Amino acid sequence: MLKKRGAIVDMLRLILSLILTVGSSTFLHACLHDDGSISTCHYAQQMVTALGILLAVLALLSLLLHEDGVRKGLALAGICAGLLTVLTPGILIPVCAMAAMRCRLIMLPSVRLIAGLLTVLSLLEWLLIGREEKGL
Amino acid sequence: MKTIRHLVLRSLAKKPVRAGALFTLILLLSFSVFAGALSVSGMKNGLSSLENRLGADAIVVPKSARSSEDLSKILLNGTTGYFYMDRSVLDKVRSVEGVEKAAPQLFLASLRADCCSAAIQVIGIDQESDFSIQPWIAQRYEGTLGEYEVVAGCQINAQVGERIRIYDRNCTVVAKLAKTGTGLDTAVYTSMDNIRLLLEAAQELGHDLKISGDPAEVISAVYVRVKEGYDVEKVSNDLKVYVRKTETIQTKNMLTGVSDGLSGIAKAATVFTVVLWLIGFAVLLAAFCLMINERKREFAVLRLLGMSRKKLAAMIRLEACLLSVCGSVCGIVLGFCVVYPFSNLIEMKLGMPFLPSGAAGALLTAVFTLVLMLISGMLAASYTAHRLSRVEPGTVLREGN
Repeated sequence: MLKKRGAIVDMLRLILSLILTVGSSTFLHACLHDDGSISTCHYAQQMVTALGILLAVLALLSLLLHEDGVRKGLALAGICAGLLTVLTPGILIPVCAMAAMRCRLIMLPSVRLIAGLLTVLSLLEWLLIGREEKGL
Repeated sequence: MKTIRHLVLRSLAKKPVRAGALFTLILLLSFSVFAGALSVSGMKNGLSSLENRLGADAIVVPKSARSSEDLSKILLNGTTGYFYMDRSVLDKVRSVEGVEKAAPQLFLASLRADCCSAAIQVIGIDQESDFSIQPWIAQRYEGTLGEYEVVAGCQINAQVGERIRIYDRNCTVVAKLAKTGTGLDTAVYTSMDNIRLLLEAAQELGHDLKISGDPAEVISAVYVRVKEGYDVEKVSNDLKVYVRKTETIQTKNMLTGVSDGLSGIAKAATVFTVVLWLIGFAVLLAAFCLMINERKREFAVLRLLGMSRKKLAAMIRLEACLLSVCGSVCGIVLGFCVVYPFSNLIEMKLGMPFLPSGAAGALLTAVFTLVLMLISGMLAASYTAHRLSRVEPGTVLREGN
């Protein structure tokens, strides 16, 4: 039963990571300027895409591998990568100054919401594996 | 009670799809009720915040500003803009009977800054005479603004002590204003002396501000407060007559359009939320009836094993209570995650002020949603439990055979 729940959590993590990866370069992209200039929010977007790929790989590995110790490590890595993604736009890499800019209106809240959910799911997975190990 | 709790938990765990479907239904219902209520209160808060912040009865702008459109876009939507008239207008306004206070403001739109931002609206105020912005600045910064010192609206991404570059001049942010949910949040405020320095800087950079005459002798708008006992409309008409080449906008009229639009959206949102809740409640009732129907034999066996009708009803109610609380809490969290982080996007799409409630307001709305969903769930469960109590367990089991 717990294994089945773990697989559902992994699937959710994989889907959300893919939304983050694809979304950050498509419908959740940063600001585009008519003159072709690049703002720092563009680099924040690129970093989010890279972290999205990492989160997707972690979720996929967790889905394919069955050893509890390895999966627990992958869940921990997922928590760290999720938190890093939450902090990337606006804190680690600045975004545009104006609140009306696309990066602050759409990219920043969406990325934080999805990455926050991914962090919570990774934490849930870590707890589920812990219960599995205890044989509950 | 312990047995009932154990039975309920086992029943939910053994049928995850059924429990999940009911949980999702309650989650969606509570999300729509919570997000709907927060949005309506956010719109109302935004309008009252704008009314408070403006603090003026009328605003005198040059004819070139044409209509209240230009000014209302700057104030409501954060659009950048500028228009200028001669400073002598201020004295003319002050000389009109019924004018209690008149304070000038000077507008300037920055170019897109070189690092990362868009154009910023810069508003120059006379700190001594201003009565609309200065009281708000005084809440955060009591001193007089020095050379190239500015106060930033809360949506400007610069902290106190940081510098923002406007027309190649480094301006230090000395304070940040509280959120109003209006275009005023995306502006930067400074003294008249500073904004004139920035005007010169803009002209040095070859930016055409369309100023006719001496740049040191221009203003963009005069905010007017009418003396008590005087009719605002009459004073506004006098201003139109005595102060030539200007337009006088009554703030009440400027806000009427916003207020009408807001009232329409708020009504539609309220009706939509109520209808959605009614449909959701009907679906919830139907789902509970179907669930009970499906579990008729299970309940009949429990009855034959000695469980009283009262305990059986308590068991159904406990199951509904658990699902309602879990679903509502998740729906509220989801609503919170959508409304607050995306409040700027909502404000932009609505095209009107939007200021979500503070912690106390949000908590109150959350409690209201939780109680409403709990009552809905319990009502649906009580109705199905009542229907079930009228059925004889023996008949149910014989039907099965």
